[in-house]
Amino acid sequence: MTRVNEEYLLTCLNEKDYDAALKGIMDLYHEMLYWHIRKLVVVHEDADDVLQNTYIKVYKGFKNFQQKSSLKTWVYRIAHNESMRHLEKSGRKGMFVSDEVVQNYWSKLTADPYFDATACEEELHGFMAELPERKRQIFLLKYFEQHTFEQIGNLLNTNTNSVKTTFYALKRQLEEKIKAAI
Amino acid sequence: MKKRTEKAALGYTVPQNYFEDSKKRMMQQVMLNNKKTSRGERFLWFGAAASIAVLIGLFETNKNTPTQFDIEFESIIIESVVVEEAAFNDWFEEEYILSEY
Repeated sequence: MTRVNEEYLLTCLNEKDYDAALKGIMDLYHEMLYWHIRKLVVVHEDADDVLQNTYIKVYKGFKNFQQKSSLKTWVYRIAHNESMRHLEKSGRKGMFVSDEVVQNYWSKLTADPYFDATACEEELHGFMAELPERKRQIFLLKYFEQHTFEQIGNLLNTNTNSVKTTFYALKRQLEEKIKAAI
Repeated sequence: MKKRTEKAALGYTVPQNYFEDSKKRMMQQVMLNNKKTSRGERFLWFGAAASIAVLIGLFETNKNTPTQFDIEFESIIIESVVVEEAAFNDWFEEEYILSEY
């Protein structure tokens, strides 16, 4: 049986075997991509739609992939852009967070049948709901997905140092919030 | 800090067997979508090729030989006009954004 890894995927692409390449990507990254998208768009059904669109884009983009980055980074970025496009359509992407946006975040979350959080997780959601989209992305990518600051900078097209500063400022803010709650 | 498992994080859950089922379903959907696009693309390329031929003919008539850049530029502009409004974002992404990585 063929071992699916990045090298195998690149061979598939070089041989223009796009079906095998997509299948390989799904075998390697399906769950990871889903959770990345889910944390950004929140609701399961939305994450499912965005993931589907991501694969369509990936398949279309194979012929243009120039190997300037790893295939994983490329696929991740497409997933990220698709999530952002979805958030834009639903009016959630912006620099500032209004009460309406926070309310919308919570109503979507609690209406999702695939959401079952502990009190602590709900506290975390409360913190994240109030963050502007950009800051929320940085927090999610570092705190839950353990990307390096450099990877986050590349993914979001942002300077690594400002990613680092933002994350630590958010972490401090969260710690203060938790201390106040205890 | 203890690493949280992906599934437990933030209380998000998924339907049972979601990952296995969704892989198959999404693969089928991509193939279906690709078939539809291929037919559309053939029409698009035919239109673009015909437009380029007309343009080249016009340039020849005027005795002004266009540069390679002019031809490429014209063809991309014409192609963008032929693309339907709803499909424009996808087309743009495919032509420019996806090729940049």
